[in-house]
Amino acid sequence: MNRLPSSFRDPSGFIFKHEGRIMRQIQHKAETDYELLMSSGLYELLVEKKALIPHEEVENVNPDAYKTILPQQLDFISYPYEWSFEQLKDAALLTLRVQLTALKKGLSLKDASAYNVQFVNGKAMLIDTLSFERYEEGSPWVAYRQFCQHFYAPLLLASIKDIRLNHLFHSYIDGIPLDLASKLLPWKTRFNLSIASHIHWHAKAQGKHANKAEDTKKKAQVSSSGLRGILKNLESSILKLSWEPGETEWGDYYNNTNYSEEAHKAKFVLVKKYIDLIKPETLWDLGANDGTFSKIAADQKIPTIAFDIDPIAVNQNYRKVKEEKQKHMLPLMLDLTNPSPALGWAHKERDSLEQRGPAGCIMALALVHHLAISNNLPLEMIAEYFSKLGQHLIIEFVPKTDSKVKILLATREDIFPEYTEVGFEDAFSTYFDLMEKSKVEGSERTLYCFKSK
Amino acid sequence: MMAKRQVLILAMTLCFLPSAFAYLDPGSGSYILQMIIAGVLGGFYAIKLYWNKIINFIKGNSNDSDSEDDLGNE
Repeated sequence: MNRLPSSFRDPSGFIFKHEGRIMRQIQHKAETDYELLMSSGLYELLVEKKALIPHEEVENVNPDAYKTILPQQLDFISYPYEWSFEQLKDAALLTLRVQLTALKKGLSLKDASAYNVQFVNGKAMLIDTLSFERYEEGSPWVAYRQFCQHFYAPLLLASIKDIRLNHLFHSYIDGIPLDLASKLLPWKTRFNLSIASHIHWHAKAQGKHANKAEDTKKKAQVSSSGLRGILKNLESSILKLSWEPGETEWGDYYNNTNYSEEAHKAKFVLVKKYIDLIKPETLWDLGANDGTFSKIAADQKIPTIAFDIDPIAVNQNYRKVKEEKQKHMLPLMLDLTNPSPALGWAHKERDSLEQRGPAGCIMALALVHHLAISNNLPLEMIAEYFSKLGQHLIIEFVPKTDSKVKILLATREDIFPEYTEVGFEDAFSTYFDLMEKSKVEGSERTLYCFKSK
Repeated sequence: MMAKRQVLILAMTLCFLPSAFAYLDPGSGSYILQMIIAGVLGGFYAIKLYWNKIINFIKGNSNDSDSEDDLGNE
């Protein structure tokens, strides 16, 4: 049995891989809670609303198990530090609403981890079937602190302070410590009842009662209406949060590409042709901007991930995915020059980008000049890493004569003698076999279709 | 007789259900804070519900906002 190293926190069960499929073993101690989830009507309701991952019960692989379930299989696991603001907001609202619904059915979420949410067919969905336990009238919410650390604090910091504070998720695997959030948030937030309660007073209460051996679990009593009040207050506060970047901060890059309408169309046709040629099972578009070209694959029902470094582009793309009910595209944030690392205990709780690959095909359109010239990356190193990320590669070479590259070189010395079409082909031929290449009509750029060696 | 016995067994089972086990440390401070704010936030929520009921009554709308579907419509 291949137990996943990330699945160790909750003794109710664990995830394992068997015959290429991800399964969940339920331990005997979780029998009561699991059966209550299934018999109370909560499972059926949540699955119908696409709020919880559906599963089927299968024969036990391990005879010690109480039961084994086979959940709907996911193409890709993403992490909160890769989500845009609105993705994190939707994941937070989902968690709260699942908890509100569960309480009505006599159950409660025993954890509220952002890592328990995934985006499936364009929608946030809870993927941990064993997160539910019987609700005891009068009990406080055991996952309240985790919810504030995983959702409320990072959303407030991103919305009120700076979107880049989402990177704190890299350092704090169990969410942003509330005392840190309290310090980082502006003073005026102490006059907002919700923020004062759930962050500032919460951080103070934690500090005051830390390292004291108090058995508050038995003494603490919160009525169900009081608990609902707390949850509804969190919900209404989160609903009001938004992130609208100022124009001057990020500019208007996305409406200002280097393509004439004719060249854009030609590039579109070529990309489609290469995707049709490769027919990949999955596609990662690196530097996807707002997903214009990723959509070619997603429209063909190819599970597609549209990565970009810019939180505006990713947020815009996510909005579009929701509006268009696009089921096959997942927009995510990624700085390719510093991609998501392996994190957690023994570096095995959260996989790096490379560990989650390779994709059937990766696309790198209008990207190579940013990597090679802005980031000084030798072409051969780019080719090597790309060959690890994808089995095929659709890549655009942008020559020095292109106005975008001229801008990059305008303020610095040209230390890139190898940055030529010949140099590019040499570097990539070490790791890839050329399938096809073609000039993009109406531009100076060339599009290549490669197969990894 | 049989039915009475079944009810008794069910009642006993419910009484002796193992208490839910939490694998997370909820934190004493978080529990105490919830006790404190539950009264205020629960009170505000109750006022909001009654206010909505009054508004709905005036508008002739029979919707009960406490029985709302928390997950919304798909």
